[in-house]
Amino acid sequence: MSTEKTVGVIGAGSFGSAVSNLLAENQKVLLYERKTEVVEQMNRERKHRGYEIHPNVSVTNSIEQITSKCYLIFPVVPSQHFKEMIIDFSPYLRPDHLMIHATKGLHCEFDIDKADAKSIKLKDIKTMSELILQETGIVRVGCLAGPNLAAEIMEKQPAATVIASRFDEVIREGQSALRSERFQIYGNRDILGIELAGVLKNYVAIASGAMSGLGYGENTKGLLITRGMAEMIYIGNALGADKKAFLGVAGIGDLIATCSSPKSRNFTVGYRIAKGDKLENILTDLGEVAEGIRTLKIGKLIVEHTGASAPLLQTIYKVLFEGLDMERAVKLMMRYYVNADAEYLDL
Amino acid sequence: MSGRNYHANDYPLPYVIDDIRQWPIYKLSADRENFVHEVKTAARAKLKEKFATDKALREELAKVLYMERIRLTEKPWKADPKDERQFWSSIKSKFIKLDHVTEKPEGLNEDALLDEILNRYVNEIVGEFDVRAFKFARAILPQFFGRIFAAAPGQWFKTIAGNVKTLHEKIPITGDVEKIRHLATKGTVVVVPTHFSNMDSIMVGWLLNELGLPAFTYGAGLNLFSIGMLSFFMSRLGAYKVDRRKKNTVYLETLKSYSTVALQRGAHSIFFPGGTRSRSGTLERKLKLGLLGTAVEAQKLHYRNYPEEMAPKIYVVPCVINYHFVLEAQGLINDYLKETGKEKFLRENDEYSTSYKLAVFILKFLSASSSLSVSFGDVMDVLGNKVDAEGESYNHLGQKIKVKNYFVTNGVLRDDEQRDAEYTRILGEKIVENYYTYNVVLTSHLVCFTVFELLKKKYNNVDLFSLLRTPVEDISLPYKEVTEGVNRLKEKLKLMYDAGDVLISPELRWNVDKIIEHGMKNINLYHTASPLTHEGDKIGTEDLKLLYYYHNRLEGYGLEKEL
Repeated sequence: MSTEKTVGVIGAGSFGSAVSNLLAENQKVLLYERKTEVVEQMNRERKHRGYEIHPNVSVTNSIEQITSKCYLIFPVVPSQHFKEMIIDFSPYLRPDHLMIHATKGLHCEFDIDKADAKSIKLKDIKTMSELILQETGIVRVGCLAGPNLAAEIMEKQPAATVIASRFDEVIREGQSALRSERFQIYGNRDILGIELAGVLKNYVAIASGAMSGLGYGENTKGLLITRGMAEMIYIGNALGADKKAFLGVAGIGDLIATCSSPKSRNFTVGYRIAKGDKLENILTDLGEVAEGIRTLKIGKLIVEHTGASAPLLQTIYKVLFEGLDMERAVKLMMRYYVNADAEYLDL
Repeated sequence: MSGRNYHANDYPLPYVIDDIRQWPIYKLSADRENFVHEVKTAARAKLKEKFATDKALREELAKVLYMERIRLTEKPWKADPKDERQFWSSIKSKFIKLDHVTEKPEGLNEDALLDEILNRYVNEIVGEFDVRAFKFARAILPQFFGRIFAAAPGQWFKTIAGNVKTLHEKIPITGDVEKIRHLATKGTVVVVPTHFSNMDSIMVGWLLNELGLPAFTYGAGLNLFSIGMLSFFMSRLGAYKVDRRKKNTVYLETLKSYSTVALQRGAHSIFFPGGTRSRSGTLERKLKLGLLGTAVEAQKLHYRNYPEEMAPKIYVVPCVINYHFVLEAQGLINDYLKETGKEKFLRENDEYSTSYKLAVFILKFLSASSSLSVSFGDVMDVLGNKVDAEGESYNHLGQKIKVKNYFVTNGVLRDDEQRDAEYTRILGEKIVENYYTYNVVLTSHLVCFTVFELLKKKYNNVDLFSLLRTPVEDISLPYKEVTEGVNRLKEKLKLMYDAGDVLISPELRWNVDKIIEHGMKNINLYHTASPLTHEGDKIGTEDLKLLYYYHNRLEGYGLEKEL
């Protein structure tokens, strides 16, 4: 390995491509994409999903190439496929690889559609960093999370993100690879908290889309975001995370961004449900997965298993999967409130 | 467990290195002057890195002086050297002169003062290894241990076994002894035992000798050095002095540097990572990472100083010592209960201040000891990966890995204290896992655990302190209930054993009545107030705290759910 840096990105989805372009401003980037035809097309056209690919980015489908050339790798793969991907990479990864993932999802060692909340084990629900530790020999793991809508990053708008890792070195390496005048990068050692903040906001975004679909305005959104965050803190707490991460850029910051953006997939799901669309149709149209759907299913199991307080999650779940009427759901939600404001700070 | 199995009568095993003069610890001692110099240099470098400016260093020195003054006035020990006060007052007067422009003697500065303190500390810490003393101890100790352990029941020695057994039948050793022996010739071995009793260091030292390993270096409390005979042997058998009263940075850094340099020079070491004895009687869950970190540091330095293929490896071996009873149990559990809920330093008692007290202690221990067991866990590298017979590392997926890569970023070996501290934490977690997996459940632990948990249930899980205050006369359980409980847990433990989650002693396969009888006999051997009593069809106790202490040994397995 030379000291000349080439960093790797796994996954050429919209966010993977955005991360690649950001990284490419500072060094060479190898972007891994599984499908040969996509690789060829990207290298030929130098365009992907309507955006230019930075000249410093080369696209490859060779695992060996990326793992031998890059000591720093950013996997950006939907949580559903993450395990499969990491197992493919595992034989090529060594303890001198550093990995910073940017996937806001959870993995379950059981079938989430068949599991029974009482009998699941919490340790079978894993964040992506836990999955990396479990399936590879890598130790120095981090995650990237924050209000980072891919389209806005591609348009080079100012933004911030958080890199979380137990290793300061991983934070430093990530910061140096991503540094940019229009991109602030905060560090945090609480990786579990940051990962969960990024994941749990998904279902709140669905709810936000739904409120918007019903035609409600900013007051409702303000209520939803604050109480949604309280709920995220409660669920995070049940999984052993500290509340602090939820109050930062990757928590409330990301929550506001996704809850306000019609560009977010999760938001779109809620919006169209409220407009009377069927979930199946929405998901078919979206093509790519909305992590929020998985988060909702896994979140429900966690809440029922641990008894964490999460009325919003329960209600949204009922709307999406049990045919609860949207208007009624809002009434139910409004009936539920706690007396004290900001009580989660005492947790 | 792989490798050759040794039988009781194979012990003591032949030394892996015949010539004592070739032992790392001997070489270390023979080269004492250079060694001391190296330790000092290493400690100084670390401290100068931490306190980079004269001002920062001066502030730290002021702290050292302050803490040392408190120690001298509040916790003086017999083991302290005669000139202790003199030394510190001379340092203090020099320190004051640092500020004087006119009176400042030539050459006096922060660095010089630091050097003087380091000198003092290093020379206090470093021990020596004396072949004659070692040979003498080696000739005496087996007889000492052997006679007493193997003694037939008599007036002097209460033993449980009716028939005479050899020493090693009484102390079963489990673990891959062959691998440990082989790797001790290839690299450096760090044995990391659980810590329940003051007997541990003597026990472990003796055991490792029985395994045919070269002598180990280990830290022994400075207070133990006030005992003439013990001091004579310990200071000549590779022990180094640890003063737990000194908690200042300069001292702690010197201690760590001693360990790092000794490991770099290949001296096999014993670390008690729990720091002090387990107060509550539970297996250690939170380890003190300071000393453990020196194993990581030494390994990294090997990679810095040698080409990768030549770099010696450091092997970490957890070790669980199981006693039916712990002599100090009473004092330990009282300490624990006093300290619960309060963040306070434990008072470091000068418990064995005279040879007489210590002799009584050892004699009681040996004469009363029925059986105990020792098990070695996985042999690991400094990241907690298992190693094979040749010392090659394999991660949890079975992938062969190079340890050097943990210290490499972008192709370059890097120093990074925060990273290494995380590695040490990972190693610590692996050691704790090993403690639980290689813990041997003895009958006494099982019976005490069952009875205390049943009592908790009977009193509707009232808080611990209320339960412990209940008059013992009021406490009893029907014998039948206890047998049922023991039986359930025994079956569960057998399943856990099959799954590789814990080890169990052979007696745990007996029928329940015999298990209870065996457990009670052993636990009640020493304590004047019996943790367990059996009258008619009732099981009771004369000392709830002790019962609680022994019960704690099986905490953390979730066994209470089975009752």
